[in-house]
Formats: sequence, structure tokens, C-alpha cells
Amino acid sequence: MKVAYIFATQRHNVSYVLAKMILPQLEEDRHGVEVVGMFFFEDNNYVLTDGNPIGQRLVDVARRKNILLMGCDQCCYEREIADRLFEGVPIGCFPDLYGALAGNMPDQVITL
Amino acid sequence: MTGALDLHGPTGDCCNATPRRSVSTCFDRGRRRQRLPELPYGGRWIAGADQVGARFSVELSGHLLSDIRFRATTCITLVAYCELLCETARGMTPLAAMHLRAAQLVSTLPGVPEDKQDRAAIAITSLHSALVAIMDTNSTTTVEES
Repeated sequence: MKVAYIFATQRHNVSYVLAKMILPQLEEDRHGVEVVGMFFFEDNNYVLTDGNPIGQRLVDVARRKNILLMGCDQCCYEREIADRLFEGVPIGCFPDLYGALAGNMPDQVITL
Repeated sequence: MTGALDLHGPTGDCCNATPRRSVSTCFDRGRRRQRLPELPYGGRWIAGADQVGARFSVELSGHLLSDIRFRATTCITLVAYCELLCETARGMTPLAAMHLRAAQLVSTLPGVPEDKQDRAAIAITSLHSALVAIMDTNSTTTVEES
């Protein structure tokens, strides 16, 4: 099964659910499903800024597993980080997300 | 002309404070401007390869652009560039506004990733279309009047 994750809420999502559950499982090839994309809203986008240690691990595993990473454009502009994301990580809105996933559509979209 | 734009004019901020010109603040103001009715002289709808597009309308008072409005696809970068153009070109002659270039928008509004900077050309081309419309109309009027 293919899934895409949307990180919509804040608090513990990136530091806990992503960094301590999803990411280690992906790194160890034992997540259980194929992740085809991750989309980030609001403060969750800070993980995509170049130099973020969790983000670096995420980018590395995304490149290895061909996982789309995308930041919400409006959220990134609001935080003035749109041009400071890891190389190759785009910003966009829903049309960009769906367009980018069009060639590798998930079976489930999971909002966290 | 490829340097940053010389920005001027009121933009609705309080206490005469110089408004911040970030993508986010321009988008907020542009979103409000989009709700206003279109002005008498409208240009063509100009769209990019991904169907993101805009259309400007303008009003002339004397020889100067007294008001500029636009409709645009809901793309934050494009709306921000369009709003910046409205704020910049207001008070210019149409001919002077025709000399505005996409590179100026890009350098005036930092923080836009390279793959989104093509929106500046859409905004500029769309404004130019409205300016051509108003200049054509006025030159016709001038000839008829003379």
C-alpha cells in the first residue's frame, strides 16, 4: 500500500511522530507501507529548512526511497523560509501536491 | 532597468509606517484588492504553462495611473507579485509602467524560490496588456479629438 502523510497539526508531530516513529522505521526499511509523499503545514515546515538535523535525515531517506517532500507555500512565505529549504524540496499548494503525486498516487492520505 | 523597484505610495498601513514588503504581506493586501470590482480598462488574461494566470485592469486620471487592480489564480507568489505591481505602478504614466520588468519584481520581493519566480513575468505581461489597452484607447481618443 502507498501512503502520503500530511503534517497538519503541530505540537509533537515532527519531533515525536515523524522523528521517533516514521523516520527511524523508514531508515530501517520496516515502516510497513510505501510512503510516496509528505506535505507540511505551518510550523512543521521548519523541519525542511536547510541544516535542520531531523530534516537532513528525512531528505536523505526521501532521496533513497523517492519520497516527495513539499512545504505549504503560504506557510513558508509567512515564516520567511521559502528560499531556505533543503535543495530540491519545493513549496506549493494542493494543485502542486496533487500534480507532483500524479505519477505515483497514494492509496491513503494520512493527516497527522 | 533591472534593479529593485523604488516603492512608494500608501498601502493602507496605519500610522504612516512604511509597509513591509514580504511575499506574505503583499499576498494579504493583494487578496483584499482582488475583491474590488474591475476597472474600466482591462487587459487580457495571461497564464503560464501550469495555467496560473492574471488579468489587470487600470484607471487613468489625467496622464497618471490612478488605480490598478487585478484578478489572479490563487497562487500566493503570483498574487504577491501582482499586488507589488499595483503598489508600484500607481501614480506612474502608462508609458513609465510599461518599462517595469520581471527582474525588478524578483529583486524587490526576496524569498521566492527560483522555481516560482516565473510568476513575476506573468504579472508583468498581464499588466502590460492592460496598459496597451489604455494607451490604445487614449491615442484613439486623442486623434479623434484633434
